[in-house]
Amino acid sequence: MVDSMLAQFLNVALDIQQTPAYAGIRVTGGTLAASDGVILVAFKLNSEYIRGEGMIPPATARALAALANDVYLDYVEVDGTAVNLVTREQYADRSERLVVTFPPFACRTVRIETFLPRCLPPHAELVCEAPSLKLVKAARITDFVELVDKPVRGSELFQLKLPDAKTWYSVRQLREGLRLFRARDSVSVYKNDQGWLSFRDDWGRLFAVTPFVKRD
Amino acid sequence: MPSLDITNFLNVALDVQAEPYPGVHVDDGVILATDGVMLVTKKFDDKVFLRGRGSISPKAARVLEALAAETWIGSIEVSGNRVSVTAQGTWFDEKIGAEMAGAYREVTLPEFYCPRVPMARMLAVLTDESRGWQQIVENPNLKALKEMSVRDYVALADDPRDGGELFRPKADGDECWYSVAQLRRGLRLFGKNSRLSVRRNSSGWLTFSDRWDYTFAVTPFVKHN
Repeated sequence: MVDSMLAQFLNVALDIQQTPAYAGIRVTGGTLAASDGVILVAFKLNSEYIRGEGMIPPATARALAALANDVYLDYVEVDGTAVNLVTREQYADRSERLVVTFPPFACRTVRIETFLPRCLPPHAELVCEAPSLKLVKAARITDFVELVDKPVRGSELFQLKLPDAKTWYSVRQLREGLRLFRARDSVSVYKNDQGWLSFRDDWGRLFAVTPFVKRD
Repeated sequence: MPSLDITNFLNVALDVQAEPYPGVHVDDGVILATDGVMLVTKKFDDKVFLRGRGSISPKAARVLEALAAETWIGSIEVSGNRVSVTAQGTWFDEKIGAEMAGAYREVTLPEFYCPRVPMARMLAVLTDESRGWQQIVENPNLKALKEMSVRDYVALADDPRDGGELFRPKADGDECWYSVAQLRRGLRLFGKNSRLSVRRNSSGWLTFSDRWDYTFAVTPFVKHN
């Protein structure tokens, strides 16, 4: 299928993974994940669709993002840093299978998946379902926000940071990761004991951000 | 190691190409992109590097650009809309702590439809003597273009000299003039220290070329009485 969700995830992930130590997109057990050490995005897909284990180097990810929007993908196979994209070329009278084989490129393995359990239950608690995130859009990119006291479905999740806030979040980082979701997607918000905030939707996409913490 | 020459060309070509001539076109060692107003081209002397004939769709060109920006491209083969490249893999040697070159691998991209353009005819126009092509200046100064707004228009300086300023701001009586935006987009093809040769034909078309066989051509805005 033409996979615009995969293409969108790869584009967001490519923007995030630009810290050299975290370059590339991690693939394991059908999950794609990318991080810059502060924020994390992940996409849980079928392990028959995203096969193998390894890292998708940035160049291959850029190529993959360009293709995912336009070709019928059978599956993507990752082996170390080599990636095979199995597609189906559609002609008027037939369809033909084509394997696009990308060579392995230097890319260190970063086991980003080890952070994923810390973003979800039981390590994280549900804060709110389908909150409003209008403030993140309305605030300046240099602003900081904190969670409101008792967020409820449909109402605002954040308020501007107050001077006595214990943990707070960067609007810039939130905006960067929330691009993963479309305007009408309904997300569930989780928070763990370290203040990590995770946004997850029904399609298996997840965005997690670590907080700024007040040091006494 | 990235293939800088092809990456830069594709970057500019993808910006220039547009309807009615979408894509990047290849024929006989020459790669070309145009929107009908501007044209960028590069001739590769190495017949092995760029082979075949056909059109690379913008989608395939973007994939090719991503690969070329990362690694060394050994060859590009175009057959109709089918594009195959040989790209060199790389790997990280933990002992040495450095990136090492690996084996070449052929990457065949999916075929995306892209119409062919009459490349031979387009290229012939740039050298057709009956159109009154003349070399006007070598290694001109293009400072005015950098300093002006992209919405401005310029005309050729009255008496351009080698090393002197090529353009001046458009005046009311000018018969033909050029868009700064178009000139800037096309001139990105050349390196900062490239020594350019500028030619003009009787219709006011301009071409800029360097010794590496990169050429950028632009058509003028013409005063109609």
